[in-house]
Amino acid sequence: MDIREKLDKDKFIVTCEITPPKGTDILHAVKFAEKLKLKADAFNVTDNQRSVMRLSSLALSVALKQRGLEPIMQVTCRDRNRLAIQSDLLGAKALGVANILALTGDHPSSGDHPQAKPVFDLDSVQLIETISMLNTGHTLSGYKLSAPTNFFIGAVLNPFSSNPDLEIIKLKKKSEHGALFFQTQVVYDPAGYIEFIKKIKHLNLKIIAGVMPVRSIKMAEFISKKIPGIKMPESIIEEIRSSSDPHETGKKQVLKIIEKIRPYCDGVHIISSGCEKVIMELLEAL
Amino acid sequence: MIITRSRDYKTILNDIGKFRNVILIGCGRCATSCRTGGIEQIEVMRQKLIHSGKKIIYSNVIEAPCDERLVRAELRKISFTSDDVILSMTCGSGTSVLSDLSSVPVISALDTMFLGAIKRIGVYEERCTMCGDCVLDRTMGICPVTRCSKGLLNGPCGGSCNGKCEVDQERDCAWNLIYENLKKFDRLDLLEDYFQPKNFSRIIRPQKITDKDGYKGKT
Repeated sequence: MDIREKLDKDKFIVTCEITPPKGTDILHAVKFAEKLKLKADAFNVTDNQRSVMRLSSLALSVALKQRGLEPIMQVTCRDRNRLAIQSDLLGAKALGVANILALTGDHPSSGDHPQAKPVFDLDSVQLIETISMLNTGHTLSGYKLSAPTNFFIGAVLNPFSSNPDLEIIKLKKKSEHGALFFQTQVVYDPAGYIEFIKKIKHLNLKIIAGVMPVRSIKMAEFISKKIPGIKMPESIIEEIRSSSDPHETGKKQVLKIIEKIRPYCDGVHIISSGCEKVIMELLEAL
Repeated sequence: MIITRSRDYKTILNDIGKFRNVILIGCGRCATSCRTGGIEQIEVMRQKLIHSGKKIIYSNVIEAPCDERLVRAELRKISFTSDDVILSMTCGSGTSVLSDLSSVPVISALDTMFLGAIKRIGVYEERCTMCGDCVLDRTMGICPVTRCSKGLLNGPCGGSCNGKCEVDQERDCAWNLIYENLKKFDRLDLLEDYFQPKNFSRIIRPQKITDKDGYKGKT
């Protein structure tokens, strides 16, 4: 059963994030995913995340698929125009990738090639529309494909947006244009999350809540100060600060958050930012 | 207003290279307004070049160096030799026109930055990308193509936070500005419309427009 069927049948799913290597050796990433195979339903493969150039999301997604794992291929609008994106999507479909997470993408100025030309020929809503067109057997410009694709389209939403009205308007557009599941910005404030989800309950969206265990006080401070759009309550930071084992505390915090938000989501998405051990432990504990 | 910025003097001097005689041409409109190619800046450049051992054989501010008619008339006043070079203190358009019509090489003293607004003396902000497909009627005059760092058309990205842009915390998020403006005029309904991807076939470069034939791009 793939994640589309599981979500359709209201089964709670767990997804993990896999970052492609900065190089050509994909074995490590693939082996890591294989270790999690029994616990995780699918693996999000990032697309030059934070505008740092890495091996393509398409290549690693296909490698996972070939080993019987289920990838969610992330596609951003930053690096490719509408021709390149559609071409990669057709390639992904031909090689067995079924799930796409459509994102805007970070601006190149924050990455490792700040001189790069930002493409953004499409925005995330237009990207979702493009994938929907491919699913109907047409290109974005209306030409017929030899066969339609059948992508399960996902998008992102931020329950902690500083402008919730605007966030809701945009996520409605994403949903209207074909997004069927939504992964959220990471949650540290369950009450804030639940308040937002209640506001959009009438839209009947499949929501996969993002979680990311904090592993050190440095990490907690970095997230709370430097990453726009993440709301981290002071209590989380304080717990980590006073802990003798921040790694363990961070894991417990996430488990507690998941327990609270579980009735308000259809699954969780675990982001580890490089620490595989904590993902393993979290999956064991779930 | 075309906003320009002076290039580094060492680079300019290097570009002038072996040419001994320099003709300085400024712009009476945009480059005068943003203080990069007006009478004062021409004089400063003249002094610097003399100090660097160059001879200034002619200098003038042309009212609009992007107008071929004015440039042609101006260049007729100068008798060029093979030792001459024109240093253009105008935008890229002015420099191109000078180059098209001149019998000697033309070097640009300015970088052309953007089409923008003068906020006050010395402070300029980009306002228009000249995309040939205006959306300002749907966004209460705030251009997302220009003022959103990613040029997004269907709302802000996840990097928008407290009304600021992910690229620079000092920069306003265009979509937040649009939201506030639409709210003020009770037109938030406009935000719900889907914006199609931009039609870049409208601006196949280089563009040409003639009064007689109208717009030459595909629409």
